[in-house]
Amino acid sequence: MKKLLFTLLITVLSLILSSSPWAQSQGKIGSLDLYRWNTANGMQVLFSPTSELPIVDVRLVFDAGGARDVSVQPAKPGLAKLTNGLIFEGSQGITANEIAKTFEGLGVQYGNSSHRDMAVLDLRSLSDKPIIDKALDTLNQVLAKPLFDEKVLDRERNKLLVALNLAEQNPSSKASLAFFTAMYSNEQQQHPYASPSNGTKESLAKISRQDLIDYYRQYYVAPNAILAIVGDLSLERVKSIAERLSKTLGEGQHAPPLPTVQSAAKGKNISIEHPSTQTTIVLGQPALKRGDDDYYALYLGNHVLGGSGFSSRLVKEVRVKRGLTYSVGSHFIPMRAEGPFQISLTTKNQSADEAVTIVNQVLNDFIKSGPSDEEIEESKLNISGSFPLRTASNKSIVEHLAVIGFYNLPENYLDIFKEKIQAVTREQIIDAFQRRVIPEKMSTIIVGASSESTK
Amino acid sequence: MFQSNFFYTTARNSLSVLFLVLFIQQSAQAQATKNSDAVSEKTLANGLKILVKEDNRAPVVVSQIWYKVGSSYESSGTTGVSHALEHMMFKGTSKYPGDSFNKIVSRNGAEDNAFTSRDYTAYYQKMEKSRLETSFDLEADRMRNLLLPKEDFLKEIMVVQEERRWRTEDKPQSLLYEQLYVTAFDNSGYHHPIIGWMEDLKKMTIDDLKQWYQTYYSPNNAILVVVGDVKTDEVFALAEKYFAAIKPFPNLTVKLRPERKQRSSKRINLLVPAKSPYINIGFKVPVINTAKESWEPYALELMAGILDGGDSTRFNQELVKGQQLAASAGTGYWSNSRLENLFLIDGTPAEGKNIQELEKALLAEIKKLQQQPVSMDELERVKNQIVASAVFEKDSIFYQAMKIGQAEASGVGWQTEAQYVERIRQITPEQIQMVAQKYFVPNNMTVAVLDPQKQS
Repeated sequence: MKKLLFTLLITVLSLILSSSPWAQSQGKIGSLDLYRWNTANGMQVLFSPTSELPIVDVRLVFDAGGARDVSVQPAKPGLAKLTNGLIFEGSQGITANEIAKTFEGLGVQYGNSSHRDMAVLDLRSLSDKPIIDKALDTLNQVLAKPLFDEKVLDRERNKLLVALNLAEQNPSSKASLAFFTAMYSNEQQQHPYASPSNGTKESLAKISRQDLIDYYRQYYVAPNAILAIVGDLSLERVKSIAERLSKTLGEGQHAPPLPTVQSAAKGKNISIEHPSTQTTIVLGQPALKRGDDDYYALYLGNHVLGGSGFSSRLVKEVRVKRGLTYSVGSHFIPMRAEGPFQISLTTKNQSADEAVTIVNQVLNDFIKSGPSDEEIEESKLNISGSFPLRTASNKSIVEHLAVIGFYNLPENYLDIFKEKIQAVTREQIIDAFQRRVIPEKMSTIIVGASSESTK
Repeated sequence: MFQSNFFYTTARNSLSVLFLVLFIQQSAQAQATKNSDAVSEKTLANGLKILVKEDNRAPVVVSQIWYKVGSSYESSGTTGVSHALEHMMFKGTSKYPGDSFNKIVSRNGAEDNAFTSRDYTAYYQKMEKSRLETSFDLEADRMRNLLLPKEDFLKEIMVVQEERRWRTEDKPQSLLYEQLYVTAFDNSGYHHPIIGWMEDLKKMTIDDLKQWYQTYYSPNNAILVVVGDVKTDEVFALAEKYFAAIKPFPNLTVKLRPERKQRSSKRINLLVPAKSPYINIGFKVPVINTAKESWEPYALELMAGILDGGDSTRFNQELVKGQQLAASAGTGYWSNSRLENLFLIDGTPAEGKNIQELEKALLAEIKKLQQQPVSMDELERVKNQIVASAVFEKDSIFYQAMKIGQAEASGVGWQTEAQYVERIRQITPEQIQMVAQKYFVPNNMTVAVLDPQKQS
């Protein structure tokens, strides 16, 4: 009994230790080492050294994507995007122009992007010491106290309004927006994923400078950040780089968990008129989170269904056999909360009904009977054979590191994925699809010119 | 940066379009890195040119086979035949009938696709390095033994039509870009779009494709590019084993169709349902392959970078941030195309601004470059970006192979390509001023404006 208690104590102690600074864990990604630790004030760092090219890739990710737009009262869709978009537009002691001139004069590439889960800042620099040092000095200065200048906010808001217009003339943007609303908004729940990340004309007009300042203070803090670095630097240097960045970002809290998705018992069918020659069709439902145990079976099954190009059933049935589309595919997109399972395609307006019927037939048949043993074997070969491609560039590795950090996956996540996929059986796929993909729950979005369809 | 839909791919799963970006070029600085920049060249007796670059950072390899044929080789009435043939290259031979090609590629975990441009049609597989032989076996086989079954073609040409609808018909900005080239070029093969006109696609026959295949798909009209974790000698030996037996076709004499002299500025308004106006301006300029003064294309590359190489450059500073006339503005120039091409300028007006104001402001920026040499400071910044990008691009074996293949297929040659950064370094502010004055004149200009109509 005592021994057991002692073991428990050790376990608890080691858990505490692992979240303290410098408690470093180590793994492998592709052929590279992977080091992972937390800085003193709680920023997670993932680093893979490689010296074959004189390059450093830095990706800084915050749990501050569009899903957080609803954390303010009232909700302000577009807030996450605007905040992210203004970060390189001037900070205390450095103007936007100086930031751009400094980075570009060094040959540094930098950028930002905002998604539903993540807000991302990227930087790619030569690793020569004077260049990378200056680039990181500048990044620290940028992050220390962004100005969120009123005039810049107005200008960027106007640019987003133009982007909304451009999205309005693009059928697939329209379909995607309607798809997320249909999936994540119902009588029981307005899930944060229902919020349009690019904002609306109305919501953008209401966003103030203070909103951005508050949002930045709340979410762009060390405990809510993941720093991923790949490149020609030593572990010691990255440790000091990370400590400094983490101090710059400062103390704060990790963003709270997102609510579990309560999907409606019945999916929606939505038709949107658009003056196009093709109809864009998107079908799907909320499906799974990152870290879900069913992921491997669903991934492998989907590879057969619509995730593997010409080998997949959807491409064979809709494109190859019938010539109805240029591109059709299906995906599971695991996210913080339940991300979508989605099938999408475009076809000429006259074939829209036929295409929807075939897609549903293929899907229902797959849910009922699953893939054949041969299909499973072929997919397993494809996935294992293509594995070296996933880690063939510094850029792809830094992206993997950021995902591993953001979703708290183990360091050897890619190896685990590879092994688990190989172990999946036909029965597991059928079981997982039958439990997780429910035809009645599927929503169908159709964007096109209905006058031309054969209804 | 101008993102033109330059390639058309058979798109496996992702709807990925490869955008040609400025400055995808070799670096002199990069030669100091641990990776060798050396390209090895060998030509087989049948004329197939093989170019190999070793990069052993990861156990992967990319193999690309480039045919010197693309939409600019096509004639009126059969536009789009190069691209349609590209689609049919996946439809089987007697050795690998049906979809065996796709099955074998998939089983080997290869990422594969193909792309067609104005100047070339190329096929590639990116894979774990031990699978290279499989790729050669398949590519050698379909270089000569394609079956081109009619029933598959009848389905696939429908797919191509869907592709045209998806890429162009329903995208107002793509329609404008297409119309710009149609208007700018009268006789040049760059007049019509890569994917072809819908009217031609509807009438295309399998015999059009057969004839195309039997004219251009020969070892003496192809280039094999391999980049990755390989030994050059072994690649040469493997290429010999699979490709040497393919007999060459008679050497082709490709009739050049030089563009006739433009005698006035040209302008079109495109009236289509849309929500946002958009402008494209094209000036006819030389490229490396056609330039009489060999430095001019490099000066034009830098001019593009001065206007639109990043946040600190003029379009962004002056038009997006300063006057706030544009929501976005960019340039596009591809110095490695085969024929005289356009230096492109595009812009979307800011909310509440009109397209006429934006057009004036874009042209005013050109005028400034004609009147005043750029500062050394500004020029250095753009050059530094190009030098650094050339190092960054070495992170991708695919782009390294792309650069070699593009240079070869357009006639520029990989050796010239390898000097790119050095040539860029030598350009002076005066030379940029000179190309601005020489080529950016009304008689070289075409303006295309998207005038949005109410969506009914």
